[in-house]
Amino acid sequence: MDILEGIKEAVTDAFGDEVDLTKITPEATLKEDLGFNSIGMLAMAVSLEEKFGFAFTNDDLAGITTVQDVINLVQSRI
Amino acid sequence: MFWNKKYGVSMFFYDISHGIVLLGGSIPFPKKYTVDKKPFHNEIKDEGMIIVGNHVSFKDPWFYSAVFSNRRMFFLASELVMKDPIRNFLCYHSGCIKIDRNIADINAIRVATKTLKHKRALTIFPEGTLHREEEMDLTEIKAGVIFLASQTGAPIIPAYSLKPKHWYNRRTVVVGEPFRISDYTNHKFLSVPEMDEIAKALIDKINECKNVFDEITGGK
Repeated sequence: MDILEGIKEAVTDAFGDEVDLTKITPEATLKEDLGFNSIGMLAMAVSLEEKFGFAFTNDDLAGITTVQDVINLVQSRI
Repeated sequence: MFWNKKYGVSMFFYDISHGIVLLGGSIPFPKKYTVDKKPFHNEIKDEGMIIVGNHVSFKDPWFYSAVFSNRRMFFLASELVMKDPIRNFLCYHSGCIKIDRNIADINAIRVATKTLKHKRALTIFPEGTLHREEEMDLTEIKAGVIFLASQTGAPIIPAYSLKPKHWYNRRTVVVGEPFRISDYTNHKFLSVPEMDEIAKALIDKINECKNVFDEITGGK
């Protein structure tokens, strides 16, 4: 599965239509561009864990700023 | 026995202090009232539960664990409470799950979820910090409570208590009826408006407990 598509599906599962999927590009920042707060980050992480079958750590989440960071992380874990 | 490998949390001091509370007679043992007068323990005996209440004293966890003495109880505690090494040691061995409120603490959420899935009780003080009685601030329920309840399906039990006038008076704890996220939505992940609506309903439930508390004790 294309990881970016997987991320979009995970975001849709977690947020429904609250997040504009066209805004999810590798350069987009999670907080500023997509509007995720800490609970949003947790929801996205839980959803990604279910989809890709790996576990996030606090350090992983702390190191994520952009969608590209998420793609890199998922790539390194699957 | 004390070391709970499954959750990575030690219960050594919890079990000892819990035993003291149960054996210690009427002063440390709180009086418990339920809002609807109908026992609900059988209804939720096969589920984890999240107890949310106001936070007026460091002794609150002790009294809540006595009220729900049929369950082994864990507590979600801020990293600030546990920054002192002695307190960290005591909290760590009393079933506290440390949560860092400055980050998206997925490790703490994972441990808390595991305890709830194993039908344990988890106490959270949603004000996020200690408040003096007259300053109780439930205007904002921490979204983490609702996130945990929606992820696990565990019922939330609202509760309210204040410190008694004298140390030797028994403490009163009022317990509300179970509050379920599924009564409001079937979504596992909640939208911001859904979270706001549920938070408001939960605040109302805690305020109901407060009203019953005021009726029983005259607000003291």
